[in-house]
Amino acid sequence: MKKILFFTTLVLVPVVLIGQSGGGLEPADILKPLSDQWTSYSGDLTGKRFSALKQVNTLTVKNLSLKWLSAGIQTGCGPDGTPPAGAAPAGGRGGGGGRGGGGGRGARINVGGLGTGEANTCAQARFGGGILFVNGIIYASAPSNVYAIDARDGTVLWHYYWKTRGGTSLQTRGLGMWHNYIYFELNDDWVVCLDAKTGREVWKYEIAPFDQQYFSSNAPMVLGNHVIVGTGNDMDSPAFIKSLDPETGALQWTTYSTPQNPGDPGADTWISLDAARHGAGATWIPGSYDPETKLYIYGTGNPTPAYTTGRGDGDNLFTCSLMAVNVDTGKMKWYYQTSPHDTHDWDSTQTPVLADMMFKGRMRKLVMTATRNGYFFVLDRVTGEHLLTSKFGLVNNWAQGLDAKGQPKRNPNKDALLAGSLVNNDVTNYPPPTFSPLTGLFYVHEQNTLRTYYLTDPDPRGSMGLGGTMNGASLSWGTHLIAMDYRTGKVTWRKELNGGSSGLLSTAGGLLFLSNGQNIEAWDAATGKGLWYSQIGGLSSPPETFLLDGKQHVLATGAAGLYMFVLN
Amino acid sequence: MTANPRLIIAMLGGAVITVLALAQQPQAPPAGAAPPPAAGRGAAAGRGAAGAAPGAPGAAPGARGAGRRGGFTQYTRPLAAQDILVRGKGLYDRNCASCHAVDLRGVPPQGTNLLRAGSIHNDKAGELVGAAVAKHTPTLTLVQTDLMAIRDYLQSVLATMGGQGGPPGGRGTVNPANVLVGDAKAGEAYVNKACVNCHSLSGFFKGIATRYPDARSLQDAWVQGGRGGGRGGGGGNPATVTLANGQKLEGTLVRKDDFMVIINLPDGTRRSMARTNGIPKVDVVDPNAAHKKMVLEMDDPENKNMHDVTAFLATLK
Repeated sequence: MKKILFFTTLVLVPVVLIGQSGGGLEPADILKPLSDQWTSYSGDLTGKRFSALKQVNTLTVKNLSLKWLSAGIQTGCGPDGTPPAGAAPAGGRGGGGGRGGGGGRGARINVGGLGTGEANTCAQARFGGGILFVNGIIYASAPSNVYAIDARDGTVLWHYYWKTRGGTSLQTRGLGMWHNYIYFELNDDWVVCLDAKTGREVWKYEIAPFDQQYFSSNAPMVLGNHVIVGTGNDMDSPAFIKSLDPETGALQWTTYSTPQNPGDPGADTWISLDAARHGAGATWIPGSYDPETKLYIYGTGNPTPAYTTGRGDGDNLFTCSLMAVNVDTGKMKWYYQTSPHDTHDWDSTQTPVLADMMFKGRMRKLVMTATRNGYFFVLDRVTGEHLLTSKFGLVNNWAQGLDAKGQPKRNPNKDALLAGSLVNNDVTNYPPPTFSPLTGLFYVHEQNTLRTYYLTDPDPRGSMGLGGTMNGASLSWGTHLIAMDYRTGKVTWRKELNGGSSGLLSTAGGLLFLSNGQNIEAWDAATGKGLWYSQIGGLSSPPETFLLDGKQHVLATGAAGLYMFVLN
Repeated sequence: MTANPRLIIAMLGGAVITVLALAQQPQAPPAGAAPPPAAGRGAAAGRGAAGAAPGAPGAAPGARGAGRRGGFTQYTRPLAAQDILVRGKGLYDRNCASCHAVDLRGVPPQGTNLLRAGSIHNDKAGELVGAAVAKHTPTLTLVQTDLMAIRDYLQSVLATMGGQGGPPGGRGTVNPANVLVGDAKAGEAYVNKACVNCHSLSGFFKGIATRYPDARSLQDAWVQGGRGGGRGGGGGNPATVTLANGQKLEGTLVRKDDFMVIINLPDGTRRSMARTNGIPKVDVVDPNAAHKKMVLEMDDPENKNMHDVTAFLATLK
């Protein structure tokens, strides 16, 4: 950890509000702790995914019942988003996909995008990432598609359809909102601003060059008068976050993950500036925000080439790092690298969790992250001071202890080798964890697999992207949900899952919601004991909760669509 | 570290240093070879760089197929005509390859990697390549049509890249000879210590190197054991369900969680039961448990035991 100024390009843009202020989602509401509404990727900006709601609790959760299922909501395809003849109409309706709720006509489709529609597929929408709930309306997304849905009966109110040019079409991380604007990233590297009332396009901005293998699936984060966007890319391309004006889409600043110019901080950790410029550190998962310090804290992805030589022997800053940047300027205040010189594609893009908690006898402003390499870190989020590192994972063998900064020391013999190494696979991944201040437990998925790992490209210049290696044997000790004491990093309890790792939710009702195999389940957050389930199919995004008409609801993305549960 | 301008500057040739190590010259396509498609996605079957040698960029044109599986799906521009690509390749090999390499990955330290050059990936009509060439050191003397032919050739190579930055030619393969680095004698001792209690040399291990003649496959097979760990939660493994009254049901686990257990019984029937507070009790046997315990004990920071065992097993023809 150290304080530095960072390589940021700042664009001076006059702020002109042209009539969207007032109504919709007030920016001040985005700063509130998670409770009645779900206003951003994690519900609130702390990343805790801890809801203050407690109508549904360890005693009452048994009465949680299905209110509606909005089944068969379709993604758009073709020139106007309309499914081929004979297929179900776009825009599902509540009441089980039949006649309930929405009347007889399909929702209005607003069409955008630069493609022809040939690269889109009409299919059941598989919702991903952060689904917003604001003023009785659900805003949900699947790649290239956004929907507004009446939270009372599951009726689709409008559908925005983007004709994509194709590219790497991974799941979306969801939406951002500011007043009456909805923000959404498209896989072919644009972000669109939509009118929340109509779904009509207000503006769009090109985030990155599509031809260079970028793909954009991050959830835009609205932080004051900034919309933060990021991208993915594994093709040795510069990675960055950008801040846009929420009203106009004008660029405010860009902050790169790796050095781009001579003398940039961290340049000496690369074999050359050329390597640094192509060193990636993709920004494909939203971070968290501390309004007091105005620090946006987010994780960066792996360096490229990911697995092979070609980057020198240095740490390759600022890949696989937790970054804290001032949201008004884009300047970095501190960083902490969780995987120095990563050689395993272990992005540190897990959601950072901000909490004010006691730590070693003092109230501290903490940031916590459990990273893909199987290490849990606790830092002071104001200064970046390292407080704790612990290891999780039953077969985590890639490192040889910690260095003086608490960073794991990579064992080069557990890199991909020509003769093969025996090393653990990803211990966790991007599906978000949750932290309950009530239990003091940090909950996260834990995958326990050893594999053989071979180097296939020994070229001293290195390979590219994710090239140059292959996996062989795979031996699993199962996928678990672990609950760690944030003060020690020790696992308080561990429970095996039947698969599924869509992300987590904890509540003041003492509950932990999760996807387990084909179930959504509610567990006692203190003990891990199962209290309630519904077999709706594996979830495609984390469960959410909010208050509607005075009642606590739970929203889940199951096999057939959106499932809304309510306490009866 | 260099003082290159921001973003990536494509250094299109100019130098004429001959690098013998990179002298593998791709061959021109056979006479009558099908021309590249005049339009459509770059990743369509049949396209590829002009006459690249096996293993070099653009090799095996058409190998990626026409679908969207793998490949570089963002590459949607039509390729130039085959004669232009062939000419571009010739110009590249003569003028550029000594610094930027036949495979485009560059010859360090001066020759930058053109496979990741944004000025080539993003160039539409020569605007980015032209700007890069204007700053190129040494100065280029190529005429515009030749530069564009080189650009077209380079873009045809980029079109053969895989998704997620996969280089042309795919992920590569393991040379089995590289896997046999262990001490067979030490491996034999290890097998006698850790394995023969369950697997005899005269039975299970007999001829294992004949069954797995590829050393990588052999290593993967014995490390993984009979099963990779089964389905999540023990599904597929033998299980005993103990009911509240003490009755025991033996079968194969389908699924268990805090709310339900399902097993397939030996008579072919399926039995599902609600669970409350851990009742019925479910005990699942992992048939691979002993092997997994052995693997954890065998693992060492240098992979020595694994390589030794593989070297020994490779002798068991």
